[in-house]
Amino acid sequence: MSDRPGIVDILRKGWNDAKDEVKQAGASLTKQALDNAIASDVVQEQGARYVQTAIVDTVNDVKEHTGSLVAEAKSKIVGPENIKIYDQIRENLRSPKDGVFASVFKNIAARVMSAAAGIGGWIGATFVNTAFNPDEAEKVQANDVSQIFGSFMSKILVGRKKAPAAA
Amino acid sequence: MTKIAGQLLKSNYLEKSEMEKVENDFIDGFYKVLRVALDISINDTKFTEFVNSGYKDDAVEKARFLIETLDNEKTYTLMNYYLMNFLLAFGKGAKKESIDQIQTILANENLVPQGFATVSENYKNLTKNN
Repeated sequence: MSDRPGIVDILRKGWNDAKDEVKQAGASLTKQALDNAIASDVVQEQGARYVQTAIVDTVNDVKEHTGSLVAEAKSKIVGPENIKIYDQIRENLRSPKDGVFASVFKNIAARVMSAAAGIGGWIGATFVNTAFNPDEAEKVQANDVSQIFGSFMSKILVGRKKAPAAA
Repeated sequence: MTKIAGQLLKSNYLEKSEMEKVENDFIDGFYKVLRVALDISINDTKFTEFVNSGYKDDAVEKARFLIETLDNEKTYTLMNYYLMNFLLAFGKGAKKESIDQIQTILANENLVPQGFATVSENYKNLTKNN
């Protein structure tokens, strides 16, 4: 019976090995692999670049492995007018600089993610205050959309009570 | 997991001069994966209902539709996968003297290998036909 890798082992193994390890869901580590990983000081010296590469790798991985799902879903949006409307909706998630959620996500990284309590309301309020001009914001405050957004982000940020079921 | 990602991004576990770049890349990647989540979550029936509702030009209702469309298991599977990989990479890329602290943070949040394996398994199941 093989031992499952400990978190220490996974963290020390390095990005390329670790992601394969996780994908194999419990395969054992070899001593040589662990020794090699611990010896790889160069990774830590270039830590930021290493993390940045991993982020890009993961995004590319997701894009690559969801290609047909995306094509299938988007093929159901037909007609130039509908495609235009969908693109407008999608545009809200387009750019950290320009999207309506820009400030929200900026703040997520800066401070919000570490605050477990009251996160939904805070994000909801931020969303309203940054996405709309003052007149519209007042209208939205009376609406529940900020609460919906806050609730959604809360679930992503601090986790759901119910564990996600396997697809 | 995002809470932990936030703690790491606020920390000094990487060189401070590089943290802003990592933070920006993290947000950029977060957006990109969220857009994929939207693309695979869009439902033609609900979309048609929204278009025909008369609110398609209302920014608030558009935002509501976006959020409600994203609120599903596929989104959580993709976001968890993204966050898991970020945590693993951060743990390895961090300064050597910080590794123990990061391990403690992860352990305190029950982010153990079995949990990561479940995230990975959910992702594989979602994308297995691609």
